[in-house]
Amino acid sequence: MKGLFRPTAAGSDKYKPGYRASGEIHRPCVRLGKGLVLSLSTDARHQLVLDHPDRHVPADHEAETAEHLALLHAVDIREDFSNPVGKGLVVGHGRRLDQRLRRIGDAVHVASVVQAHGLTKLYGSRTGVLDLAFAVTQGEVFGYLGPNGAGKTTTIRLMLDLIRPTKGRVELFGRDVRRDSVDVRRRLGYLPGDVRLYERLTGEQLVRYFASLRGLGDLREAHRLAGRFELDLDLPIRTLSRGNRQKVGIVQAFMHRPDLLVLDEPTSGLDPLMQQQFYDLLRETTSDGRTVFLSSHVLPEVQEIADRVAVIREGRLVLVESVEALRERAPARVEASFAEGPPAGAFADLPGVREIERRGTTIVFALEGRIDPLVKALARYEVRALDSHEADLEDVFLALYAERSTVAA
Amino acid sequence: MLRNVFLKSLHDVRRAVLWWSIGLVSYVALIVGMWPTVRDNPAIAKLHETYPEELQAFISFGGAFDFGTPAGYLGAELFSLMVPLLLLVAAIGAGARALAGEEERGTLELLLANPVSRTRLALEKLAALSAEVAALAAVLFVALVVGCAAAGMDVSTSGLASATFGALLLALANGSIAFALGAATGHGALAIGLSAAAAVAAYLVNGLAPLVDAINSIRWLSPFYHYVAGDPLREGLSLPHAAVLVAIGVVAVAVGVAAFDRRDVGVSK
Repeated sequence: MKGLFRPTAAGSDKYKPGYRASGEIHRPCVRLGKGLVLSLSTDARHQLVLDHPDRHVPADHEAETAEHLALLHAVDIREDFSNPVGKGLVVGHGRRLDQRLRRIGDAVHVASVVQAHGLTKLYGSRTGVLDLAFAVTQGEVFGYLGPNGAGKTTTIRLMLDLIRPTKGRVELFGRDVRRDSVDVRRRLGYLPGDVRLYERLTGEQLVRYFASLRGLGDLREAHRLAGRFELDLDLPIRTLSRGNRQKVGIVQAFMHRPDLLVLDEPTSGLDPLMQQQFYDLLRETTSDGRTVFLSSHVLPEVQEIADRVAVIREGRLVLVESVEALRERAPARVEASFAEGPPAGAFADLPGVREIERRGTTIVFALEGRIDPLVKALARYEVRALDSHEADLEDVFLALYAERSTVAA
Repeated sequence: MLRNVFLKSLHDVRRAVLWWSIGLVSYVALIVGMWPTVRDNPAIAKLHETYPEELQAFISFGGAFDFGTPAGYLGAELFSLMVPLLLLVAAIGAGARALAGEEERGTLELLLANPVSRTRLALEKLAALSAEVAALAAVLFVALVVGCAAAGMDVSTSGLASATFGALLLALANGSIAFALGAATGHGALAIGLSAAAAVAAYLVNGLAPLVDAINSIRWLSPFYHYVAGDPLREGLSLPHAAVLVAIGVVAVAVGVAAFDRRDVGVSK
């Protein structure tokens, strides 16, 4: 298995890359020596965890060697030492993590499986995508979200080297997709948004053809996938329904267990049961340390399966963030009904609380952060009913889109 | 059978090759079957010799126009027009379909997700279309040898081989042009239209050359001229003329493959 971190100096085993089990998840990690392990959590939090083999690092732990100090200094994570999490110290988190880790420089670096640098594609005067910059980290599901026509498929075709950028470039596995096209495609599985197959072949023939092109002799995985999705590979493709064609597309994309899956609206045409099956497949894929780039125009889908999400709108990235962080950022709604309406401005100076609607004696608040100060403040009045809704990402996105259109207008 | 792009492409055309072969054999049988009638009625040959010079220029195949000899008869009835026409239709269709067909059907996008370089894909497709047309030429040759023997026509086997091979080279030169146009543009219909128009123009230039001085000076540009010149049925293959046909194909393929390697593919325009 390829490591997320790898020493760049050939033959150096000072920082050993690998994976470590955590529950059912294998976490990419670097062994620092003396039993200390620095690993990246693969849950949505994207935390960098410093672990000790006894699964507990004392909060007053001091880096044992000058090397560790230099390393930790390089990632700028000293300040978080007071934050023990039972099985290790969370020494950093957030979306800038991979950049921070990369600053370790010569020692180790996070392998970005996909990296776009100023990626631009213009069709005549029409913009396909403009100045995209993002990195997809190994082992994550990267959700690429945007309405139809926003540039999702253009981005994907640039990644596949089907179309060539007007400016900028995209690297997969650290290699230019144009220059090392064939080698890159060897490690890639692709499911196009509008999957077109050879009508006159059977599913089995198509799978065998593509397996031959990949030098893949073992079709057990293909047959296992077909069985899992209840697909009969012996039928001619021209007789298959849209959903079944999609399944053939899934089988050919996953059958060689590629390191990176590029999936353009993969669940379209699948019934809900098969969608769940597909989400399970994605989870298994990332738990092997493999990576998924998935485009979608359906928010709940991305919310369910993606670790991080990039939002594209009219060819530009408007946001790249972890789903968890988005959720945290999303304000919750609290609806309180009073016996008598409190005076206007009664809650004006509460931190993180905003009145967004007032209907008679009912007030709707948008709440960021802790609910306690609001509850204490509400208690000064007679409350008839209290209702709170969890943050809804849909609101975040609608707000995001509204905000950007206002800016654009 | 589906081990690589070359074999897959042949697999796709196996039925078409069968039907084409049946058609070619039937046509050869018809023409050869009429030979005894022509031979036994000198009036028919005489009638053809009364054709205006302009028409004779079009239906003669190398050498002199002599409808009364087996070689002259086959030249006029088969090799001057029908054989090259049939092989050209097959080659231009196959050339245009090779890459543009996959692109228009949308299968190129998935095919190119596999670790096969565009150049390799194009060359395997080219090899498959060449094999397809060569198979048709081989069927034609065998039908002619068998037919001529059965009808007692005194035509040398090497002459038949040379003429058929020349027709194959002509078809492949035009097929390569169609292939290159399809590779460079992704539009099959455009590739067929332009290369068919070029073939018709080449045919007219060669036919009109003896009659019009201005055209005669550009005759060397016409692939048809290089196919007909040297009287292959009687004199065997002319290597310089054959080399020109090969060169046309090679240049077309080189340009087409280079363009295919550089452009955006699979984008609906």
